Parts: sequence; C-alpha cells; structure tokens
Amino acid sequence: MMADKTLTTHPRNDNRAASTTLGYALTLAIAMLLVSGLLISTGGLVTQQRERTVQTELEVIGQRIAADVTAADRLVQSAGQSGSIGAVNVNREHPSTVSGSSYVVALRATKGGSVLTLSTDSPQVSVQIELANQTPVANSAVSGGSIQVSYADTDGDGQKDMLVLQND
Amino acid sequence: MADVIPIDRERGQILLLGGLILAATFVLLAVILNGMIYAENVASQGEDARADDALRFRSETEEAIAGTLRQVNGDTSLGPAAFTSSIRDWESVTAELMVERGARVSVRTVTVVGDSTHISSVTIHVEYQTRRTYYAVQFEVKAP
Repeated sequence: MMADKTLTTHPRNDNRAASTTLGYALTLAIAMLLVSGLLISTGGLVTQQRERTVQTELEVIGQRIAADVTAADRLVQSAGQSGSIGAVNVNREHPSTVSGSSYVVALRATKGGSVLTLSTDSPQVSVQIELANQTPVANSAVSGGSIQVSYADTDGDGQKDMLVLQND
Repeated sequence: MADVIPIDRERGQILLLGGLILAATFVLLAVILNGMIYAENVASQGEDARADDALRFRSETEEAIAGTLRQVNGDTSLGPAAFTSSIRDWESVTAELMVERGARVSVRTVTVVGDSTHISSVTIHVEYQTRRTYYAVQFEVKAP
C-alpha cells in the first residue's frame, strides 16, 4: 500500500516539474522569437528607409548643383560674340554627408550637354541628372560639402574654356 | 526551482537587451526620417535667382552706357573725358545702391574708341559679386 502510494505520487510530481520547466522554456523561446522577429523587421525597415532618404537627399542636392551649373552656363553665355568672360564662380554650401554617409559628385560631358552623378558607397545609391548646357564642361568629381562651379582654363592656354566643379 | 531561476534571469536579459536595441533602432529611424524631411524642406524652397540678378545688372549697365554715349556724342563740347567721368559717377551711385541689395559691383571703362568729339565704341569691364556668385565680364558697347 505504501509502495503503491509512492509509485502513484512520484510520476505526478515529475509531471508538474516538467510542465513548469517546459513553460519557462516555451516562454523564453517565444520571447526570443518575438524579439528577434521585431529586431530583424525593424533592421530591414531602417535599411530601406535609409536608402530612400539617401536617394531623396542626393536628388535634392543634385538639383541644386544642376541649378548652379546652369546659372554658371548662362553667365558664361551672356558674354556673347563681342564680349569676354573675366570670371564666373557660383558656389553653394551643401550638406557634407547624407544620412551619415559621404557622397561624391561627378560632372561628365555628354553629347549635347552633361550628366551630373551623385553617389554614395554605403548604402550604394546613385542619382543621375541630365543637363543641357551650352558651355562645355570638364569631367570633374568632388566630394560633398561646399561646391563651386567655375569657368576655368582647363587646357593651360591662358583662356578660360570649360565649367568645372571644385570643392570650395 | 534552483534550475529555473537562471532561465528566468536570462529571459529578463533578452527582453532588456531586445528592448534596448529596438529603442536604439527607433531613434535611428527618427534621425533618418528627419534627414528626409530636411531634404524635402530644402527641395521646396524657391531657387534664388543668382544668374538673373547678375545678368540684369549687366544689361542695366549696358543701357546706361549706351545712354551716356548718346548724350556725349550729341553734345560736341563733350568728349571721351566727359564720358569716363560720367561713367565713374554712375558707378559710385550704382555701387551704393547695389550694396543695399547685397552685391558688390564695379564698372570700369577699358578702352574708348573715337576722336575728341565722337566716340564710336567703348569696352566696359563689369564685376558683380555676391556671397555666392562672382561674375566678371568685358564687353563692347557701340555708339547708337
């Protein structure tokens, strides 16, 4: 009788303890699953938002630099046939980083105009803006910050001939 | 129960750490979105007409010089010296006015072609400088 009682009591006790341990383990697992799920999804959200922000900021900065290049182009063209340009400089302060990463601005001559390319390394985002300018442009690249568009002598003959981008 | 307590503590750590990382992520997200708002704010600002002002000043100068040439050529008692001094007077008045508009300007007569009573053309050097734009041009104005 005594032996039987012990036998029937033991398994019940074991079950209860197992359920408590299992309960903790399950809660822990669910908590970890939830937390890691949240972390992964917010991490993805941050990366995605960062790329979008960088893209938007580069577009805005690009449009502003494009406006400066166009302004410089108009000023150079204003000299006409009889006149000559002494100097044309247009400068502006831009943010030196976009969402914490630095960027490069490149101006490249194309057929019938030029292309302005703004790019960042991390995240890898690149924005291109096409320009229709009359004054020839020299291929030049500068880093973000204070950027100056100037009419400069690029072939060393003492005559100003092309628009270039320079860091101020 | 002795086995259970460490598990309980670990769970607390995971929640705490997870919460902290999540909080940091949301702060980062706020900073990034702030950058986006800034960019959109900058984009909505009107483009300041930097080339327009410089070009307007240049054409105003051209008009003023053409007018002065007409006046000097119409009066036989006036010659190149009168023209140069007239332009100098005009420049000093204009420069003062332009300073109020935030620009430093200078107008200089480079060459005057003609004789003592009639000027056929002049070459003018104009400089226009604001905080962001520098524009120097030399051009010829023919007598009307």
